[in-house]
Amino acid sequence: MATNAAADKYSVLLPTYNERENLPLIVWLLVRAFEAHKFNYEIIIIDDNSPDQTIEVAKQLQSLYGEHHIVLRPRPGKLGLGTAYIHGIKHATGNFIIIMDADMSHHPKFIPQFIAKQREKDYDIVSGTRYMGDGGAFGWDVSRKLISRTANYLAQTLLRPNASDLTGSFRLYKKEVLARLMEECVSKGYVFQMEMIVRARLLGFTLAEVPISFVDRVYGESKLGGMEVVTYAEGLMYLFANT
Amino acid sequence: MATKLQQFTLVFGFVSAVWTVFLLNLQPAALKPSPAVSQIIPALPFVALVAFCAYSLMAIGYRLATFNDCNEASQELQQEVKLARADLSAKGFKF
Repeated sequence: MATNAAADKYSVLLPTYNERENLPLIVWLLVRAFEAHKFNYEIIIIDDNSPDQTIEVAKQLQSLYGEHHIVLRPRPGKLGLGTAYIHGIKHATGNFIIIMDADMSHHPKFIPQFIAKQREKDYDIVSGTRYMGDGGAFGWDVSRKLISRTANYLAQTLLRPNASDLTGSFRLYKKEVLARLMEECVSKGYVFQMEMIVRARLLGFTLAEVPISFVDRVYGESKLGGMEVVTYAEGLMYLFANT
Repeated sequence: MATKLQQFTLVFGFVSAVWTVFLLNLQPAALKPSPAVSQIIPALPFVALVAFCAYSLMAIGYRLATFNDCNEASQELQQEVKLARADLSAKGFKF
């Protein structure tokens, strides 16, 4: 049951596309969080051939922090998040995988809390939540909040997943659990994150949540357009009818 | 395991059937409701719908009003970005 904590290794998957501003900062914060707790870790940077030469920044970071901590697994073009995870799992040497965004909206300071939570009851998944306890989001106007609150309420009502944040993408998985879920899930984008949780419940995996503060895009822009709302509604219906 | 849609259909179908039985007064005589209750039976689906919508609006409104803006988290991050830039530059990193 309980794993030997000293033998645990955490592989962070960082898919990047035009993140040369953020990548050094997020890596610095990651290294600080892991070193402070003496965790065994590696950061796998999966760059999809960014035009802004993110890879050049990644190489600098690798020479700074070492090849055992910074692993480069670039891909020839923009191939999407789902395949980035599959690609990353294949190369990960840790027994745990952490997925997060490289754009600084997810703060590495929460990772030690994820790990502590995981060890409490040997959970299969620990998911960051913006909708519980001290969790929340910075940089959202009223309409953005209303959309996400409504979307979350609909998902809670229709899917009853017993998890407060389905669309978050800051999570810790046991490696074999993530690999198993990747075989099952067919959706993309926000719906993909939702499907992961729903399928995990169906397969009987255990899940715990840790409140996180989501700081929306320090650099660059994020938007939620009409198209994304439609895609979300379709995905919700798909999961309602098929799970 | 039944899908969420199947679960919903099952429960919805069962409740609808019970309602229809009472609406058409086909229930056993022992379960006969008082005249006052009989009067509201036709309106029950509408009442349920309004109650559900009202609950939904309140739930979403409450969560919207109590949403945590995380201003401290943003300020803390800005400070840390400065620290990170300074430390990385000192180690020879070129932005």
